Amino acid sequence: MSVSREDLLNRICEEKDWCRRLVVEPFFDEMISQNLAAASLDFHLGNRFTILRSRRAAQHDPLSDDPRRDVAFSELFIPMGQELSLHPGQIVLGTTLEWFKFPNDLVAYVIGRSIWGRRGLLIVTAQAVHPGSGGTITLEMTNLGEVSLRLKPGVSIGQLFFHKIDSSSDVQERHSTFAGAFRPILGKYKKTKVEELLLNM
Amino acid sequence: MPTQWQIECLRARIRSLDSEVKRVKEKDHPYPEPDTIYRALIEVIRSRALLFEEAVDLFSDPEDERDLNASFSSVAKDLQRVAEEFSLADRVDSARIPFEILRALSWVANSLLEENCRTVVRLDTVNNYTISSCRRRFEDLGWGDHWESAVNESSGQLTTVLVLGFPSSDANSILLHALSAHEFGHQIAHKHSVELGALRDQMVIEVKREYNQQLQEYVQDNVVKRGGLGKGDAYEESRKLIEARLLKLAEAWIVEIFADLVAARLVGPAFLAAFDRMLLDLRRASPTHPPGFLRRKLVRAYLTQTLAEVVEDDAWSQFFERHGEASDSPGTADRDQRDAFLPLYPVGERICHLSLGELGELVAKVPSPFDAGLLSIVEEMEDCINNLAPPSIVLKLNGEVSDACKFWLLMYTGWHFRLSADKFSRFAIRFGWGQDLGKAEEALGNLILHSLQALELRHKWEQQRIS
Repeated sequence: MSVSREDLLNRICEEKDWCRRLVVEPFFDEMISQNLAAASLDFHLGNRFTILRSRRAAQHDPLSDDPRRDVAFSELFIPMGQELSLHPGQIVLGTTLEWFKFPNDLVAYVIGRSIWGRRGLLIVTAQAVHPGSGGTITLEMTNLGEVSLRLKPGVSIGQLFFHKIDSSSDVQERHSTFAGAFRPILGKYKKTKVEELLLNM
Repeated sequence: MPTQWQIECLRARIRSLDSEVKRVKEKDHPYPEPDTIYRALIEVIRSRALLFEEAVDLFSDPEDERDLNASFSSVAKDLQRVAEEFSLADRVDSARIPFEILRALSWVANSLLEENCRTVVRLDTVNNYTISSCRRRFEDLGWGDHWESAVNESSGQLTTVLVLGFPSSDANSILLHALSAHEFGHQIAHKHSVELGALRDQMVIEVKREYNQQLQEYVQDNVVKRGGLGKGDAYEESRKLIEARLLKLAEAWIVEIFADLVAARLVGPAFLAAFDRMLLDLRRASPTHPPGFLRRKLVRAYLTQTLAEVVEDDAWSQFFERHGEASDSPGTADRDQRDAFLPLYPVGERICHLSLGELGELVAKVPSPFDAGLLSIVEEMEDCINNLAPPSIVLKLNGEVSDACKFWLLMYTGWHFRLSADKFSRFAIRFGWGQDLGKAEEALGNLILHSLQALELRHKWEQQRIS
């Protein structure tokens, strides 16, 4: 079941119990009050971007211990009021302007806004945010259209829909690579034991 | 008279400097402030080029050799200074700079200095924090008009650009940037230059009485006998030299202590925590900086006197317990014996001690974030950090100038949390950084950095709401 706007507001502004509290910073109350019809929470595009460029090796191996050999990063900081051009086919990592700390009983889904989607912008591929996570959300932005898109930090770029999970008492603190990060990074692939087995057969 | 070849060289120098500054100006800077610096430099180059060509036209007659010589060397000197000032805005666009902090720094600078300034951060190769006000530097060089004209072209309201130097190796050590409070202290000191000058003169008179014998010996040691100079004249020459050194040292050290007290007022003991990380050699003194052990001692005395409630807190009591071991004077045994100022250091130390009371009174005018409700707010903020939530969510803003004080409160909280050993290690273990406290400190820094940016954005939002 989706969480209602009232419940979200209450969790942001009133709730003190960290198991139920939703943190959004910076939080502008307009993010909910101006969006009366929605059971969602809008978020804004942040200032940090990471652009991936290929190096001499043509193929990128995410499982490699040294992914930097085949992918080069350019980190960019675009201040408010300035813009980034996202060219057709290009993938750029961005972040939300907001830092979120999610409660233990909610899972969030990152959804693009149709106003951007209709112009070919895809903002995310890994849509779910786990309960208890904290940090800015990395956006994997791709331009699927045929013309370059101008992206300005601060623009309302997407929204979060929240679903309640049945038993939040089982939720344990996640030791995510991305916890507490604010720069959009590729991250290192952590293989599970099952993967280790399957990949080494 | 400069030769035709020298004149051509000077013209070439003008052209190359002009084109390099313009080239760098065209680069894509994240913020527009460096443009103002480059624009002002281009103005200076242009005006010097004009001046020089006019002089060449005017004094082409070989009889007027002296005048062209004067113009030549004056323009050559200015070009050299342009090259030096150009480096002021070098490395202000490195992707390693935590740009999120810039607007917030400008915001607090405006509120502290009561003028419309912008801050840029430069990564310095030296392991030190620095600050320079471009307007003041341009004025000191006699280029004030060029600065004004560059500023008017970019934005009529801006008065200066503050270039804040962060050590390159610590660009992302957000907690260390609490030391920027000390650098802002230097800018505030300029506003009190009359009072600080009077204090210096008064202190020099006092220590001259107290250290009369040592100073006379020092004067005697520096007497240089030269041909045609009588014994009395040589002594007088040495006396003047030592007096000038003493004045120079007293001025620099008093300003340093003043800036330290400003920092203590803004971030409390967190200043000393950052200071300890930065300045590992506490014995080193120089004509511009008193030794670290003395600075720590005086700041601690000031804090005990003005922020007793804060200093008595558990985290800080433990910090001061460890801190106490290193606070005694190490004497001058390990100092550089070739340093000409060495015999003056004990005198300088005395001046700093004597000045503390009056400096404390001057600093009391600086707005401080520490008030009665502090401890409960800090506790709430630390609870946020412990849950990986930005501590700024606790801070209520009203869009007023006083909001800027909360910037410093966040810096204070970051250090308080870091030094509360139990809380910090629990935090590290909880989020999987138990084996790597560096990572935990990085995450803490990220939380503080994000909070600083969010605070400034929310302040703007509140301001808009009010208007």
